[in-house]
Amino acid sequence: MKIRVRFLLDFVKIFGRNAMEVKVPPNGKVSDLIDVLFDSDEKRGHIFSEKNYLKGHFLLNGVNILGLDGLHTLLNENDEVVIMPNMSGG
Amino acid sequence: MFGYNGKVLFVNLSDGEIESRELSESLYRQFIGGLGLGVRMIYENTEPGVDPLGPDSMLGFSVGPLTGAGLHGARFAIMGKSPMTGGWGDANCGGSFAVSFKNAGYDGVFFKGISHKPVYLFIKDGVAELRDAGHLWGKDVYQTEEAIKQELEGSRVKICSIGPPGEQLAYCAAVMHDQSAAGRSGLAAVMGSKRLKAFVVSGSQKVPVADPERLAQLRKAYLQGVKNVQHPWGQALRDYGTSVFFDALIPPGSTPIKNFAVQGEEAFPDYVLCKADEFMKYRTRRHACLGCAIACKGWLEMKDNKYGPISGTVPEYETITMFGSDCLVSDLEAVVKANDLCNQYGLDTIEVGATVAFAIECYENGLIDDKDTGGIELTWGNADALVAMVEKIAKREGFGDVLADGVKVAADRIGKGSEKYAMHSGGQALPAHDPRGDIGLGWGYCCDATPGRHTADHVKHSHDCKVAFTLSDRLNFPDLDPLDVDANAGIYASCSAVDRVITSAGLCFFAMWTEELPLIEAIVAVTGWDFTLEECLKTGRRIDTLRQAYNIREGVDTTQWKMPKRVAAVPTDGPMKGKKLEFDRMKLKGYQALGWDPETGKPLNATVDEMGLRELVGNL
Ligand code: SF4
Repeated sequence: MKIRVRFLLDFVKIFGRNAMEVKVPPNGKVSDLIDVLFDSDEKRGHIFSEKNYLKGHFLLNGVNILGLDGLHTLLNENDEVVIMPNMSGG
Repeated sequence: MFGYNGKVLFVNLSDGEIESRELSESLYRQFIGGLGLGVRMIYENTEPGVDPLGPDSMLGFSVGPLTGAGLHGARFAIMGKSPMTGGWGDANCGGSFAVSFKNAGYDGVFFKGISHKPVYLFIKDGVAELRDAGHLWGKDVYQTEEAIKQELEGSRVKICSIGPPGEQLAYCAAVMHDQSAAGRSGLAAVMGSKRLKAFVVSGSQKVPVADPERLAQLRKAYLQGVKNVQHPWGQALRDYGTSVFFDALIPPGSTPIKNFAVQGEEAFPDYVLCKADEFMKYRTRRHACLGCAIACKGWLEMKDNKYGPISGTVPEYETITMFGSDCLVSDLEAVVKANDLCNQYGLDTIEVGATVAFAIECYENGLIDDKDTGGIELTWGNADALVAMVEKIAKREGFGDVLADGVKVAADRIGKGSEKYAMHSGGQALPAHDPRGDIGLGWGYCCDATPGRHTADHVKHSHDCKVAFTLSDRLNFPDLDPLDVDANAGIYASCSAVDRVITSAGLCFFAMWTEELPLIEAIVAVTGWDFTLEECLKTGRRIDTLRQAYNIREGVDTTQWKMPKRVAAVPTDGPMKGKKLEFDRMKLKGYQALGWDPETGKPLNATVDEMGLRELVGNL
């Protein structure tokens, strides 16, 4: 199924664009989307830190996946996912 | 003793007496320095129930063992009884003051009394004198710094001072140094009440450390780590400064918009006009607190600003948010101007921004009108009105006088049910983080001895539910759901304790997110103690507990410090739509994890005994 992905900040540089369409398997989850997008070791390094921290915030149709099921949140056809660096506090 | 001067100064401003007191190494070890040392000194040397703005209250300035160690930027702490909360107050500030202060020969200075005329304290290499400040009273901070530099040793002296708002006891006032602020807790009003215009240092006596070679190794590795920092937060700080958090925190709903009423990009699409890149167009150079490789600060030049040319600092995230999205203002020039006014007059941008947002909501809802505001149309997004109102607050003129003591006092003065628009906890305005979008902050808002603070303590989460934090590997934090209050409470208490030690040691708390900070090893290298992670946690808890014991001693019922109803409500739209955050449970579980009674807020007897605080605090 088709998912529209929008990138913010560092991820614009990483993917060289602001947005793209991605295909994930039916009944795919946010974690599946990550597997499709970050499909090389180098790219994985952009989404997981050396210490395995996820470096991204994910919004599904404008809603933070934290308030949903985190990485297990199910995706639906034509959903929009925003990916941005994970930052808080300050 | 290594890493310390071993002595502090007590200055009685009523009679001009200056007394140097030596402190034992065991006292330093129990409280480290900075705000830890401060709470220890102020607890012992003031009576319960003092008027924060009266002669018997005490205002402290202090540094710590890692001040000047070159590991990360050094910040100094100020502390005392907060006129805003009626309980414990502290704040800290970067720049280059802390290192000169320590090299001037003292680890802390504690002011009591009220001077009969304006004065400033000057310490030069161990020699302290009170000097007349009659000619400085009434001057703004820029003029004050200039005048003091001229009469002393030029740029060699480091200055922190207050402007007219501090002199006029405005709770919104800030203690300023080099366009940075120790702004929160209302302590600039305490300084003004003592007629202490400035505290000035010139220091060249470096304090010996126990193992200089080891410290040099640690420094080298740490600086390399900062250069290659992995954590995106650390990277962003280094490359942009905190302004970039505005870009990053609006979309997930962490940034307050329209006085905390709404969240997310769609609620304020014009936020893009205040994104970091817009500020970067005017940045002339990066700027660091002395010794910091991250250098998150910046200077800007804005010659064609419609409010007049500005040469000053790049506004911080807190400032951009409170004057920007929280007031629905997307005018970059207005945000830069409001920031500069605060730096010039000595105001806390957070409290001022929150208070203007509150006043806008009162105006929009008809609780106040043009007659009250002196003709200023306080409408959402009105940039000119924002700038005009900040100036009025700075001068305590007209309606500015109503607002100058912060959002809680302003609501009390306006009445008419305006309290519902006052976004504060315990009298202190909430800073630029909506805890519904940035849950980790909610812990500090609910549980810390200084409520509503962005630098108090928080739990850092990423979405795979790991906790990003300096010592998180060694503390074996489990992976967990950030929304699982029960599971996070213990982590919060640990984060808080480590944070307390970092800041008491004299470092900037941003060091926490570099992940490479060798906190324990550096304290060992500097002091020569066999300091361990366990001792670090216990020491942090001791400091936390004594701050809270101070609140209890002053009769503050911290269990009544609640999230404003609006912030406690379930968002009906935006990124956190439908998600209920259990703030009351956070407070309950947080207090339990800290060893405090959730019913009364009192540290439990067992906690007081375990922390070795019984002799000092007696029976609470
Ligand atoms: S990170 Fe920023 S605020 Fe902290 S010490 Fe460095 S320059 Fe100063």
